[in-house]
Amino acid sequence: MRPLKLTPLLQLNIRVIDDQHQQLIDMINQTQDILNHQEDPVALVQILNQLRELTILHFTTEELLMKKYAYPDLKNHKSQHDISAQKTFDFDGAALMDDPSAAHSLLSLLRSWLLTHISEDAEMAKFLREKGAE
Amino acid sequence: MSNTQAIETFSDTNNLSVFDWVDARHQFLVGTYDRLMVTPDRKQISRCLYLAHQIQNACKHHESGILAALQLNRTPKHQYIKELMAGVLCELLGKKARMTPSSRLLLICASLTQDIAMLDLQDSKLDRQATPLTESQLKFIRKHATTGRSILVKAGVKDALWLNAVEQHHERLDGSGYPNGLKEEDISLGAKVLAIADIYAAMVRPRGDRGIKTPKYAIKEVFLQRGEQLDVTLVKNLIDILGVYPPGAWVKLANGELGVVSASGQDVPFPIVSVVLDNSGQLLPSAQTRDTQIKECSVIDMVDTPFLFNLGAILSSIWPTIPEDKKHGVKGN
Repeated sequence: MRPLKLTPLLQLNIRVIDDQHQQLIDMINQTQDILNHQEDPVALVQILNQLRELTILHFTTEELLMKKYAYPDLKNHKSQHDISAQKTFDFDGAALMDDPSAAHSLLSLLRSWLLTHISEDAEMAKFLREKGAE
Repeated sequence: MSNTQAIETFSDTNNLSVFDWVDARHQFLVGTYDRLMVTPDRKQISRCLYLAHQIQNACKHHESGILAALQLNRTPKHQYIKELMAGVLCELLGKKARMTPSSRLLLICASLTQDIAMLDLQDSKLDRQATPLTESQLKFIRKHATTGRSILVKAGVKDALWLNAVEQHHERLDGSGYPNGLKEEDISLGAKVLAIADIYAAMVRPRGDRGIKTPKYAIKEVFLQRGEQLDVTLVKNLIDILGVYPPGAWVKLANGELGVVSASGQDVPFPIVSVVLDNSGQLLPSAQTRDTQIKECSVIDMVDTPFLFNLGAILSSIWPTIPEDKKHGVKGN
């Protein structure tokens, strides 16, 4: 599978959000690489730990921007965030060490996290840009 | 300074392990509660301020050690550890929210006295009750914030920050809290900080009707309450302070070793871990520091406290001791 890129279609043109989405894309590509080359699964555990940190940072960043500019759909958007956050927190890190299928589960978690999230973000970003967010 | 003076200064100081330091503060708090229940007056209020001052001072240089000891001191004698832990978190959160040292001092006092109106119930019932709360207990609990404020006023507390934080610490941003169903803009900053500190500290301590929750679970739950119930920035600040793996959490590393988080990775997901058991489960002669950014030392997950009797000495050696003035240090009750 070819590495993912933050194409103009996926870019939201709000720098802080795009930067964090880029970090998530890097994690997806790293995970894919580790799977392709059957590398040491410890690297996947490191990615999971980074993903938990990024989840907290990214969702709070977006929610504070939505609140600042009074985005009307904040509640729904936050509940989508909560679904991804719950899955990320609950992911069994220990399984990555001894269950090869867990690596694929991590990859699908990362991919679904990104895809559902970015599509939800598009509308939000349009609203925020109109209000002056950069 | 002359040598004689240096020796005198040294001899006036005790060096306490972080665990002993927390134990002494806990004992002092128990003594303060006993006195407050009998005679709520200025003397007891001064004891709260004194304890708050000590917490604030110790947090300057021993943040990780104190947080770890509060996480690890979990025997039945530590019945009010929640109030102490919430006090420490209030100091650290207050600092991040740019509250002044004197405001933070009052906020620590609010944390220590937040449940002053239900000490009796906590002490004799809730900590041992295995069944869910009864209707009348719930009614009593819903009144404790207002009653707590009245007790403190009667004892001579005049500071609005302290009184409001106690009265409003169960209010929630969406108006779903009690006693007055206040909304975000009407809740004081102190109460917002105390609410987060209290929820986290309450979850990581055991109670009769529910087991102890791991710090990982508690962090997730607090995070999920952001926005509707709790202030988003303050929740983020709490996680920045504690990390995803907070000090005192037991963790397993990729190389099979077991240890305790000795310091959270500030803003990064890689805490410093002091390994206590080797990969075959044998107790090491002394704790070994591991940088979890190194691949083979990656944190795999949190684990339950291992069942070993002789962990005290090795755990005490992980964090620097805290100097305590012999003349002015806390002397129990």
